[in-house]
Amino acid sequence: MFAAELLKIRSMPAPRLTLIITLGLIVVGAVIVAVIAPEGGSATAYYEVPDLIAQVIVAIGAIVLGAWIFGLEFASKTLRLAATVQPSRARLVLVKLGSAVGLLLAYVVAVMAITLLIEAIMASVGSVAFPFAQQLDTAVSAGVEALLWGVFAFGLALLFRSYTAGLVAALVLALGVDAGLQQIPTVGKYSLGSATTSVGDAITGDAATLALGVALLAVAGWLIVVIGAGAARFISRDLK
Amino acid sequence: MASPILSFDSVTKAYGSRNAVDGLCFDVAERSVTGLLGSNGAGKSTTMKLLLGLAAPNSGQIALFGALQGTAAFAAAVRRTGSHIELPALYERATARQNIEIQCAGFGIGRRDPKIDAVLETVGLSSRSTDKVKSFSLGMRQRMSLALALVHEPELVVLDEPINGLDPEGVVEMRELIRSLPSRGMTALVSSHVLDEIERTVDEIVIIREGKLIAEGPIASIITTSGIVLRVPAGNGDAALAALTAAGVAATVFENGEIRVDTGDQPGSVIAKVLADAGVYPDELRPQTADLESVFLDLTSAGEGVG
Repeated sequence: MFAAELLKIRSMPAPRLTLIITLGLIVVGAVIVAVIAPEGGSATAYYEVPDLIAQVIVAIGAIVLGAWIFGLEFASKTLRLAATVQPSRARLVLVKLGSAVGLLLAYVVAVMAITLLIEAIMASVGSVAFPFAQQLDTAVSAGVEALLWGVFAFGLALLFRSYTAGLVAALVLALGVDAGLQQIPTVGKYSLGSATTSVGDAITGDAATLALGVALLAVAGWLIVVIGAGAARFISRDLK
Repeated sequence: MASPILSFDSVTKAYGSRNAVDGLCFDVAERSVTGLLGSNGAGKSTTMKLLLGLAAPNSGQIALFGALQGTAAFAAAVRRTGSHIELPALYERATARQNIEIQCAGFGIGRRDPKIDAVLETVGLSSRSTDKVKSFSLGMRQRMSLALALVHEPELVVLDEPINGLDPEGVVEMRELIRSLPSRGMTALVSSHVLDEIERTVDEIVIIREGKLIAEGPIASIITTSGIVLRVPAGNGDAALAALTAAGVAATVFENGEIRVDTGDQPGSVIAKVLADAGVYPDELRPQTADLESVFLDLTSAGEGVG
């Protein structure tokens, strides 16, 4: 079954396009920064801005890909086909989840590796020092956060039985609603955004809102609830 | 009947307060081509979804290759089927070949396996194998869907309206393909609204109405002879009818000059003697065979509005 999922990833344009658009936007951002940066400017101008752009875009790309893994079947109405090839629905969910994690991992590693290269080139262009180890930590942190958001989007697409609904819901939460949730006293710090940021901060060594263990538990809770509810709905209901 | 590979035993499936399938019982014999017939909404697609595990029954038992629905063995049995249910389900942005490769990968069949080229050839899509499916017509999609159902050489092929969208040539090819499945060790369960086509394609028929079984058996026994048809010389029609009526035989004269006679239990020779005694010598005397359409319409309209 993993072989079939791998073939879908290779055959469909969505994963390739997501990677190309992500890298394109990062490169365009870097070029713009290089053009407008003042001569003899700070490191911020040469590689920290592209880094911030990459962190946002890789998260959006991961959400797109996470929602796509199951959303593809709903959008193309091929779930009946998939469910007769793998009639155990629980196993089908696990195969899809495994495929999502694998795809997201490959995506974030590729994007963050190329981003690091672009940043190094930018630093060289601006003749500023490039702290590779520090930027590597930042890239790993951003990659892990993006991967977690991607898995969350996978769960939402499964829960809503729709690529579009899963994608939009995940983007709205990641880019808007989560910031609001974080403002809620006492429990706001356990929002998915807050928890994933805390995990990322633990990687970079920055001060985090939540301790790493608590942050991981909060993230696991969010993922288990969404994916569990989606899987329960998928397993118990008839396929149209 | 050969041993059944599929059995429905008092299966009921309800959607809300409506029973889409209602106490349905039928068997499908190994290496047969069975037609599942019924009007729109009779429960054909639901029946097919139930046997493929895509929907779960509310009551009753379904046995597929001896495995009961709801067991792990049933899931394994579903993998021994190939299906095309309702509209073709395809990955639009992948090519025809990629669609088949994906299906094959799910069954452990490699991308370079000759089965892939063979099935593309079988459904007549070899020349379009590198085209994206989104550019295909409905007929080509039907062929693709059939290729996906057949490529892993399943033991049971379930086809819901397989000739939808096919041109006349495609219909003939599809008929020949379905007819050839038993010789390749496969069993087919086919639903279609095109009764004439079903009549030419299947060995066995299951007719359902409102989710209930109303007829099941070999097509030859369902399309029974129900009398004889006479053609008499011009001007002899009234004399023939009068002689038959006098002999207590029910007969009807049609505009085309044919007389249809309900022979009941009497052999055709008795009818010939009645006519000869009246001085009428038929030009033609042949068994009247009901076609599937008339049998289907009789069966599906009988009892309508009752209960």
